[in-house]
This record gives sequence, C-alpha cells and structure tokens, in this order.
Amino acid sequence: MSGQFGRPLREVAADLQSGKLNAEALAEEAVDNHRRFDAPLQAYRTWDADRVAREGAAADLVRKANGPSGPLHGVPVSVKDLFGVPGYPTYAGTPNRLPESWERAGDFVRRLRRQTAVVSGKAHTVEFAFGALGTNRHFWGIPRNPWDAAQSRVPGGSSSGAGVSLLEGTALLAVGSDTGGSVRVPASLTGNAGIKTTTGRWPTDGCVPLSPIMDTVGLLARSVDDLAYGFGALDPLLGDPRRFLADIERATPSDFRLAVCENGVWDDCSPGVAEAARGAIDEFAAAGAGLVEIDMPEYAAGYAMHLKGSVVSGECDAFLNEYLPAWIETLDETVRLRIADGGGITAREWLSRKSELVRLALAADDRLTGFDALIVPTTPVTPPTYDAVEPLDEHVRVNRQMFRNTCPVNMLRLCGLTLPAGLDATGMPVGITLVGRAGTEERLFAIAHAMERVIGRSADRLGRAPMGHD
Amino acid sequence: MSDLTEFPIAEIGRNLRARKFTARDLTDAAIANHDSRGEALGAYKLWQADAARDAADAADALFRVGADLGPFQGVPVSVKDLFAVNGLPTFAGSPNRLPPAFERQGPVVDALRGQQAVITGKTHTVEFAYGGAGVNNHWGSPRNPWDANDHRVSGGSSSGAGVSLCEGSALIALGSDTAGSVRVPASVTGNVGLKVTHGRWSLAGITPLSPALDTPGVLARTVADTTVAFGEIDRKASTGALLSATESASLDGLRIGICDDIFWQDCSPGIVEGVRQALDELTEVGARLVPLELPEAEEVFGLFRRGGIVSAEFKSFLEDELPEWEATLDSVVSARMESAADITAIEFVRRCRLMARCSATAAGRLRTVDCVVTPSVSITPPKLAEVSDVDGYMPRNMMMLRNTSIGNLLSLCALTMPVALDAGAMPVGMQVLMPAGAEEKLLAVAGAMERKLGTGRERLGAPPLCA
Repeated sequence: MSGQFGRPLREVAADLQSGKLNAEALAEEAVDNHRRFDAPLQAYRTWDADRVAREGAAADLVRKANGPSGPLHGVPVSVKDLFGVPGYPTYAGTPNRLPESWERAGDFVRRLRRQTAVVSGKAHTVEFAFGALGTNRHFWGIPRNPWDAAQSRVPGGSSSGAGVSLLEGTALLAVGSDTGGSVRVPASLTGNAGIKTTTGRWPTDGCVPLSPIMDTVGLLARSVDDLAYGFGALDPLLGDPRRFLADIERATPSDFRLAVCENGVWDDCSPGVAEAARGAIDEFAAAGAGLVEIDMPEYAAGYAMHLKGSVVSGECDAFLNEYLPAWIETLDETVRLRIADGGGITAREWLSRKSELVRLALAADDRLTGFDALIVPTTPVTPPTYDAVEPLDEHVRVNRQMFRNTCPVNMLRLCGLTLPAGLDATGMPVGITLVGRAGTEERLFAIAHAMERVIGRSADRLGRAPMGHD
Repeated sequence: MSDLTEFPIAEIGRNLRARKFTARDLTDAAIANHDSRGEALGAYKLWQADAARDAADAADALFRVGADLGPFQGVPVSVKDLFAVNGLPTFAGSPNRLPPAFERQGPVVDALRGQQAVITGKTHTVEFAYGGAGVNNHWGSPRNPWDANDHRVSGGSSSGAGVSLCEGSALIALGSDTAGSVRVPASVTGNVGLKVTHGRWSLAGITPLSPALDTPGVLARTVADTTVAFGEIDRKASTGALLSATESASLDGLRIGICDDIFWQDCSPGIVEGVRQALDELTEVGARLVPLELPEAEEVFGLFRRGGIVSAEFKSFLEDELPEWEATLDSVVSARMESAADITAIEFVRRCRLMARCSATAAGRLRTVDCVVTPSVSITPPKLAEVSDVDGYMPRNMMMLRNTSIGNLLSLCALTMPVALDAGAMPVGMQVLMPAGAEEKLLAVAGAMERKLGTGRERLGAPPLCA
C-alpha cells in the first residue's frame, strides 16, 4: 500500500503528533481513497466526506491551541454503526434511524474524542449485530470482501464494514463490537488483526446492546503492531501505546507456552484453512514457542450453548420489546430466526443457562492455567459468496460454522486476538486466534506481536487484497 | 442579557451546543470585558487574547463535528500563576521565571484543558502563594473592584483569581489554598471559593508552599458553577449526580454548628451582621443553629500564628529547589518565612502531631452537626496603603487568614459564598465547613443555601468598577 494508509499506525501517529503531518491532509487522503474504492466495497452505512475533512481540521486547530491531545490525535478511525457518535445517525443495521438517545457518545467514543481522533464514518453492521456473515438483507450487495475481485464474497460480521474500511484506506483503526465473534470474524475474513476484550474491560455504554452479558467492544487494524498501538491508546489502564509496544516487543517466541486443542476446532475446515493456520503455528513453534496439546471440552460446550441461543437471544428479545418495539416488524429474516432461538424460553431456563455459563467460565479458566494462550483457527470456513448464502437454510448453516470457533471465547468469558496466518485454497484470508484467560489482553498482544515478527505482517504474508487500497 | 459571560456555565453549555452562540463569541465577550475593565484591576500576570481566540476556534470546530469533550469546552478559565500550564511560563509571583520543571502541567489543569477549555491567562499570586492579603511588591497587587475610590486588596494569595471573575474575563478561576488562598480572595471579591480536602486533588504541576497543607481549589461566581467545576475536575464525582443532589437538597432540619469562640470575634463592622442575617434567612426554611464547642480552632490558630509548619516547609523547599529566589523574596513573604523557619525537627513533628490530634477530636465534635458556618474573612479588605509595609501587613494578613486557616489546619473541606456587603460596602463571605472528604455534601448544602439566599450578583449587585 502506498500513501499514509500504507504506513504503520505508530509512524503516522508520530507524524501527526509532531505536526509533520496534519490531520486535515490525512483526512483528505481518506476522502480520496473513499472516492476510488468505495463504490464496489461499501464499507460505510454513513459516509460524509465534508465532515471527515472538518474533523481533521478541528483536530489541527486543537493541536495549534495546545488543547487536548492523545496518541490517536488526527488518526482516522471508523466506528461500527452500533455506537452513538453525535452528529451521525445510528441505524444499527436496521432500515430506520434509531431514536436520538442512541446517537449519544458513550465512554468509548468519548475516549476517541478526547484524543482528537478523526471519526471517518459509521461502518456497516449486521442488523443489531446479530450475525457472523456480514450480510444485511436491508442493503443488498454491501459491504464486499475486497479479497475476491471475481465474486462478491461476504466480509464477515457483524462488524461487516470494519475490516473493509481498513482495506479501502479510509481508516487506520476500526471500532467494532463482539458478542460471539463480531470483531474477530470480519478481521479474519478480511486479512486484518482484531481484539475481542474481556467482558467488562471496556465499557459498552453508548452502543446498541445485543446481549449486555456478552457484549464487548473491540478493535480491528491491519497488523498486530497497529492493533497494539490502538489498544494501548484506548485502554485506560495503559494509555501510553509506545510504552505498551516497547513492553510487548521485549518478548520472544520461547517465552510462551501455547495450548492447542482438538475438541472440534479443526474439524470441517474449508480447503486450505487448517493448513494455513497450522503453517503459521508451526513457524512460531520452530522459532521457539512451546506447544502443548490439551483437551478442552469446555470449548465445545460453549459452542453448544451458543447454538441453543445461550442468553443472547433472550436478552436481545427483551431489549427490542422494551426499547425498540417498532423495529421488530422489519427485522431481517436471518436475525428474526436467531432471536427466536432463545427468545421464548422461561426465566428458569434463562437463569439455568446463566449459571451454566458461570460454571463453564470457571472450568475454562482452570483449564488454561499454566498456558499463555490457547490457539485456534479463527473461522473454519472460507467466506461464502453472497449467492451461496442467499437461501435461508444455507445462511443459517454457514453462519453457525462461522461463529463456531469464536463464540466459545465469549461464552467462557475469555479474551481473544486474531491475526492473519495465510490464504486458503481459494485465496481468501485465514486467521488464527490466541485465546487468553479473562483480563490477559496484554499477554495476547505480546504473543501475537512476537508471532507477527516471525510470520510477517498481513501485507507481507498475504499480499495485497485484489480490490483493496494499493 | 447582552454580556454572554454573565450566563451560568450550565446555560452557556446548552447554548453552545444549540449553536445559539459560539465559543468564539463567548471568548470575544470575555476579551472585551478585560479590555474595558482589566487595566485598572490588574488581575493577570499573563493575558493571552490571541491564544484564547485560537482555543475558542478549536472548541467551535469540535462542536461543529459533534465532538463534545465536556462542560468546559469553549469556556474561558483563568489559572493562578502557581499552576503549570503547558506552553506558558510560571513565575509563581516571583520576579523570575521558574525552571521548566515548574511548567509541566498537572492533572487539575489537564482536566479542564482536556475539555478544550479556553485559558485566558495566568492570574497574579502573592509570591509563592505565601500571604492572604493579595500583596505582591514585584508585579503589583490586583485591585479589588468593589471600591471605586481606593485601591483595596483583592485577597490572596490567589489575588488575580477573584478579580478575573469580577471583570468577566473568566468564568472559573483556578487557585490554591494553604491557609485560605482560595476562600479569602473569593470572599473579598464577592465570589464563591471551594477548598477541597487535602489529598483529594493532585498537587502535581503546582509550585508548592506547604505540601502538608496545600490544596488546589476553584473560584466561581456561583455555587452552581463551582459544582460543575468540581464535578469535572474530581475523579470520583460526577457532575450530573452532584447537580441532582443539589436539586434535592433541603435545608429543613439542617444542623448548622455555630462556634461562639474565635471565628466571630474582632470582625470589622457589618461582617458578623451580614453572616447572621444570612443565617436567619436559612432558619426560615428550617435550618437549625446549633451551638458547637470547637476549642481545637483556637489551638491550631495559635500554632498558625507562630508560623505553624508552613514557614519551615517553605524555607526548606526554597533552599533545596530554588535557592536563587531567596535573595529577591518580597518583604511581605520573607518576613513570614522567617517566623518559624528554624524550628527543630522535633518541634516540627510536634506541630504536625498537634494538628493531627486536633483534627481527630474536631472531627468527633463535627459529628453532631451537618456543617459549621463562620464569616470567611474577619476584616474588611484593607487599603493597599495600609499593607504596603511589613508592620502594617503582618497583623492584617493574619486576621484575613484567621477563619480560613482553621479549615486547613483541622483537615476540613470548606466553601465560601457571598452573602452581604459590610459597613464599608465590601463583600462578606460566609464560610461553610465540613469534615474531610464531604465535598459532595458541602456543594449540595451550599447549593441549597444559594437557592434560598440568591447568588452573589443577586444579593450584592455588581462591583462598582465592573458595572
């Protein structure tokens, strides 16, 4: 990639902070890139070129006035259209604009504002974030996975515009949310890195809820290095991304002991997926990382819980009935079906699922004690073409597969980081996920960064997305 | 209302967000106020109109893209020149610019600047904040705008802070308070001043006087504005919760402790009367005046008169960190510094223990009341001529600090609010004292009192030199 959007985030951010690069010029570059790439890719639900430039100009004025600043000063960040950003409508993937209260900034967006980051726009989402493929039957044909120029393939969801915004060169960081894989799946399918934080680590206020018990805020970026910079900038416990990067860079592969498990995560992979994932893991092991085979039945139990709707369907059902009843009528059929999975259960059943989740989380925590992370392929399947998942039953089937390896992380109250491992047999990106115990995000970053140094960044290992920003 | 700076901060915030006027309009109004009134008053050591306009423009640019960093976005704020502000020199009232270590901005300034507040400049301070009258023989002493005939002092040590509010160039003024340096200038200029509990707010980025007693503080025109400032600066408090606590606060049954000793003695004509009158009005809505014995007040003030611990702490700081500043010390400061600079370590520890012991027993006594009310300053602000030599200065300075210093020495939090004019038509402040850490309750009670009594402007009118 050329231009500022081809450079490492930490370098661009340093130039913005020193004044070598001004935020308005960078915003204009995003606007140019959008003009060139967006027609086929459609990353954004709401894109306002004039506003992006004005945000850049405002950041420059604040800098000139010695005002608030931070490590993301002037950095274009796309925000999933599930988060309220004042001045933008919130649709949450629905056909109708949500009431004004959903346009208010929550803590996370305020953090971006305090650092004078530039919001590049509201990126597409699956309706109410309830789906892994990234389709949205209200808005046909969008967004498109930039890794296949011949066929229109899904970008992964629910943060469906997030990964695409990075590849079209309009954002250097993308904010998403993850309830069952909604950050990691799109990151993986578009060849990006993505972090799903532990529940409770980052506040979710200001974000339209899917399941308050499971919802988490996460980030996507083009490399682990960029992602670590963004995480270090936005995490209130860290706050200084350069120090965070310096900390994690000290680690070497041999510092880590990683668990690999069978328990279904390697089954039924599309051609080339398991091979690419294994290849990256093997290279990391050859560089010194320790690998231990373990048996982890909780992982499969987490997926089984997900399949029956866990607590998510019930929570979403309750939320819609209470706050947005008028939106139920127009629900995308695929979303309606998923809510139906668990919407009608009794309170007793709901409570029993909740306590089952607590038991599983405790068991998973025990199981992973002594390991730095568990490592799994992020998704077992090649992103399907839009046509392939047009039939409803096919959509349901592939959607389940897509979440299979990610949703246990949410169910078991863990955290997860996906990074690009290679390409599958059809030339689509394959990701591997490092799964850590609750609150061990820093450790995951140290492992992923060491791994990225061994296997190379996405741009080097996977090459360029055929339809992406050059 | 034509002068935008006269709106309450909450209303300004609503108007800025509704685009009724811009931060630039507001800052231009503040600059115009300074241009028309400021020269006679001399509130600022450093006045920066251009930088203020730039900051206001940046605030507006943020508003236009929907970026809302908080209630202080685009609001003019003055900062005592004891606080470091990135990009600006710190003199701390001394004749020479302090080294770069004293120019590193700390969390209190960060909190406001982080919201893209508009810093109008750095206000005058008594040299190293060591004095209650507001006298500075290096840079001049700001003039109290309440006396059109004579140059009277504006209170210190945050001597420019209250004046910057009166002239309408700032809506919030940051100050610091070691023995009364926020409350005294607030009181004698007809403003509200809040001294937080020692340790509640970080002292980083503030030139120290006596670290054991120093506290950052806020001056504002009303309790309501003070509450917003507290809520935004304080890490634990939330402005929304504070404002709703104020709204629901009732004075009915409020037990106001009145200590007959010390606080009410030897006051200038009209001061006791002014505070008594306000208390009478509070009893009309159910507040009860409860006699309270507080012998610790007399005890710690006796210590304060002997130089307390400030003198020794300050001298050791100056010798270690800024030895070259000693030779040029303002005579009113060096006289006080020498008062107990050479006490032994044993004596120093003894004094600290005396304060700790008195604080503990006072805290026990305060449990029987909700707050203690006293006049904030016991004498009318003297004419500058009366305090220009050390002999005239020392006794008056001590009297100006008497009632406030007790709050610091007993580890309390305190607020002063304007309630009357004294016999010389100078403002009278009412001090409300509460136990350590009770700022939230203090602001709620004071807010309810302000609702009953009226704001300073409503009750006292405008200062003659700012009308």
